[in-house]
Amino acid sequence: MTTTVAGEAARYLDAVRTQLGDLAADERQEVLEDLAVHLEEVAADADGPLEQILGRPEDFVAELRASAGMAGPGPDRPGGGVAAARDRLGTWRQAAAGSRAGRWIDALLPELAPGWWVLRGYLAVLALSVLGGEHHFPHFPVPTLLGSSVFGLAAVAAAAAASVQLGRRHRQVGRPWTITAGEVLLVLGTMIALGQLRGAVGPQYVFADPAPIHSGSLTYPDGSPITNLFPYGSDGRLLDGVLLYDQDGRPVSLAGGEPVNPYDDRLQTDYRLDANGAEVPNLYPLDQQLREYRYGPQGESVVTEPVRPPAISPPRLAPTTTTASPATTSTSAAPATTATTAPAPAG
Amino acid sequence: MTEKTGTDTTQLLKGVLDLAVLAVVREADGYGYDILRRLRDAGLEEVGDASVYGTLRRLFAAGALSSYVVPSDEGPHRKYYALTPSGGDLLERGTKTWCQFADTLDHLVGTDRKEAA
Repeated sequence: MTTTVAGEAARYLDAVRTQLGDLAADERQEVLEDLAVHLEEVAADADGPLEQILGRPEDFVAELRASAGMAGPGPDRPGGGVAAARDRLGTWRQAAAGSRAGRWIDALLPELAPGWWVLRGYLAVLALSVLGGEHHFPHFPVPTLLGSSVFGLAAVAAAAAASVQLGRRHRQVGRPWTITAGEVLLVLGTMIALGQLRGAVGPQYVFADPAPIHSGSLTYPDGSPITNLFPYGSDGRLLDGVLLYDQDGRPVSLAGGEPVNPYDDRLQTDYRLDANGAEVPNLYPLDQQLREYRYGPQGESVVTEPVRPPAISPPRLAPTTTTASPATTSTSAAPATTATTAPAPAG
Repeated sequence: MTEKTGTDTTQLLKGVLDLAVLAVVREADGYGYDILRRLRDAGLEEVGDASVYGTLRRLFAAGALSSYVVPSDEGPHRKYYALTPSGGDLLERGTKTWCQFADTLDHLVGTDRKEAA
């Protein structure tokens, strides 16, 4: 049953609602819906203010409680802790409603209601989106629905319209402008779910890297890995068994170019061992094999190819001068000196 | 708000309102405001809206009344109340009690009046 309550009848109904704050929500709603019809008819026939005809709302409710056999909001009311807490809440609300600030808030809340109705619809779609398993919101705050922000936007528009319609209907039957427990759960649940999906909000960048990512590898600025080093002498000959160290004497290791992806085992490195049987990771060039998996009528086969030195064109060096200053000589010779005096590579 | 006369009939009404409401509804089904007007038209002018409404709720909860909604194109949908068989029994018992009580009070008041005269 729906009833349009407006004007004085609505104000009187609001006051009655406040007085019935201790009742269970269902019971209060039922009483108010019936009273809304009654007040509307009384107001239509009334010659003067409703309060003059019906008495003060608090007296009206007291009479209603007495004749209907309803329990009053007193502290001795049976019902245990919940009823007592509800009674206290009702008392505080009544006290607040009687204050100037309370009246100001009471007047303001109905103005804010339409905004809340729209927000409620939006939150419902957002909650539905999260519960539906959507993990990414590229156009947040637009929710994603069925993998699409467009669907999400359409659903928000529909839900907001439905929520506004629901709110208007509740207002028409004089339902109080309060936030229900379900709405509180909706807000909290959505906020918690969004908190967990924090990283999923905003544009998502997908990196498509055909090359395996190597841990510990040196890389070029474009991210491509250096999986091996081939040292050449100034005469253009490939050197073998060259130990490399950095400026601090640390072994320059490519970690063998081992891929992070454990499924990518195409590149296999066999390290040389030191006298103690430990691998020497900075001895170059690394002895590497490249595996290639081939699939044919006979099934899967693995072809292993040794990694060969690249074809290079070593530069022709300018002849060295013998008049270099001691400082320059010292600087350029430092790595070599360091290399020879550095501790043996750790195992 | 009802105005109080020299005799506080509102106190008297409290004891007999159930009976009055059941009697009105037996006459014809009615909605809250309609029942209220019929009670007032019958002479119970001081009966309060909240009292009637509360009484209807209590009698409905007790099974003495049933209700149904009648849609209205002009105004709000109205909840009509009707007497149930249980309500009929209650009305019958209440009528007997009331008649005995009224006879007793008539006798008592009449005796007092004669003595006063």
